[in-house]
Amino acid sequence: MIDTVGKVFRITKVFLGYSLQKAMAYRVNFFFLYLAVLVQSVGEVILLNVVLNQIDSVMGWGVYEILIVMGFAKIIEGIAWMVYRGGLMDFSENIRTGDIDNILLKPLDLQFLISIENFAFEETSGVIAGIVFVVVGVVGSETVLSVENVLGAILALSVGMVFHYVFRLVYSTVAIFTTALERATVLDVKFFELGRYPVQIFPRIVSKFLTYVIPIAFVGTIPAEMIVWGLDLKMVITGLVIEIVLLVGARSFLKWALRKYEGVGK
Amino acid sequence: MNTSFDGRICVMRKYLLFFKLSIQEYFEYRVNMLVIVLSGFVPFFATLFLWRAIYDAGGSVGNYTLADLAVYTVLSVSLRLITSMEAHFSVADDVRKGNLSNYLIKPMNYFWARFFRRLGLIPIRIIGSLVLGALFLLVLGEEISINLRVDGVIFFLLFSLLSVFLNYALSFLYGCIAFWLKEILGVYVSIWFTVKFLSGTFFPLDLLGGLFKNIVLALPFQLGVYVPIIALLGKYEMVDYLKLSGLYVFWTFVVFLLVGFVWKKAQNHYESVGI
Repeated sequence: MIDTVGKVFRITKVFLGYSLQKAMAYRVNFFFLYLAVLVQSVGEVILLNVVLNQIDSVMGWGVYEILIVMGFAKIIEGIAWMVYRGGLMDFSENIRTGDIDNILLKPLDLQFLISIENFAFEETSGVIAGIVFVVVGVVGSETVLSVENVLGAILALSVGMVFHYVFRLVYSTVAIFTTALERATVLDVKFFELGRYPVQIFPRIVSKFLTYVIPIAFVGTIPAEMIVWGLDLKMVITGLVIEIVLLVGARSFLKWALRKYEGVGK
Repeated sequence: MNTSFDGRICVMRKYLLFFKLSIQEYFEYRVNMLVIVLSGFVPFFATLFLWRAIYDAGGSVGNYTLADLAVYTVLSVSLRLITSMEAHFSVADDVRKGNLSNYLIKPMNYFWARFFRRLGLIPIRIIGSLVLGALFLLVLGEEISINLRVDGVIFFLLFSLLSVFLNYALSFLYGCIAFWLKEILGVYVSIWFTVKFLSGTFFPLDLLGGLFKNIVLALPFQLGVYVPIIALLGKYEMVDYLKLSGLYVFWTFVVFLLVGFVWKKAQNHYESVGI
């Protein structure tokens, strides 16, 4: 067990080092990716300002509270791009070309390998922007933080993070059966943009669907609710149950799909 | 026999082949196309419901009714999909991989070859956008009662057509950046979001205020999305159409001039090594 943990740590360190070297080889690109996030963040703030210019709140959410929702969504997106999105996208491509055979032969868990092989340090900009949004939102809404609220928000955020990861993993694993979706990699990015707004703006049935069935609400809305309005223990427990079901389900799906893999390359 | 006319037919035929190939390619990946079109609408679902929540709460957005904003939101996604052209990735790819050489040694103009390839996307995206746009409006259940004027419809179509050329030329310019930078993803992401914002894809640009609004409304990016939709919504008078037509001509002239200048410089810089 200790050997395995040590091996995982060493492999992760190697991938991190390689990814950092890759990022620093194209410094101008690195700078422009940071600039892109800055431009996007400014645009989102302007949009929010324009949209909510004439009213104090929408469905109980004021400008600063919505900023907190957006901030949490950006943190999740930033971590996703930083840690596993590149690797999982490469996984789909590797399935198509047959290069996955090289990965399957390695003496390490496949899910771990495909998830961490492609760190993107330039995506730290998204995480930083998200944190700034949350901080500005908390200060602007004059929210008083407590240990329970912050802990609740972190737990809710972890559910959102897991959902995001599982969605991407399943999406990539589908490539074993069909390449029909291979080029349509933007779908998950666009889908998760729904999480940037409070789910209460949707009709009630859609809002419930986005909370309990496809839990996009955990990407932004529920962590923001925990921070602003306090810990909801029932929601945290529900979230943790969803988290476990998603992780077990996704891993089982991956293992089952790999048993069907024929390795012909396409 | 009119050889000059035959010559022109022959020239058009080779470019039309690119157009045909592009359509064939996209029919090969039908599901991909459908997903790409669908994914363009997904985030705007949220925006539409946000507008509705604002109006239900007794607020309003500028001088627009909820129906205006619903139509604007759906049309902005559709127009963006149809007229954006987005040739920059293809151009950059050709430069980086050295494939540009294949085009340069052939008896064709690379700019127009790429144009006709991108043009092939339009029929498919129009069909996809029409179907999905109608579906979204149906689902929202909004009573759409916009004043459709003949001049508005005519200028909507005219401005949309003109913006295809303008947007293509702009995206070709962005693509030429690849002649000077090895890794261009960061640059393109910056450009992509900025252009999307300045085109009015997220909200009507007249909601901005002050000097910033005046600057944005003088730039060419609004001509692809904001201007045609506002024309269709019947919010322009004849004098506005004349001013906007002048703006189209001016920016098309400037951008094509820039393309010519940059392309000449870029060819001197091109090494065809492939990366």
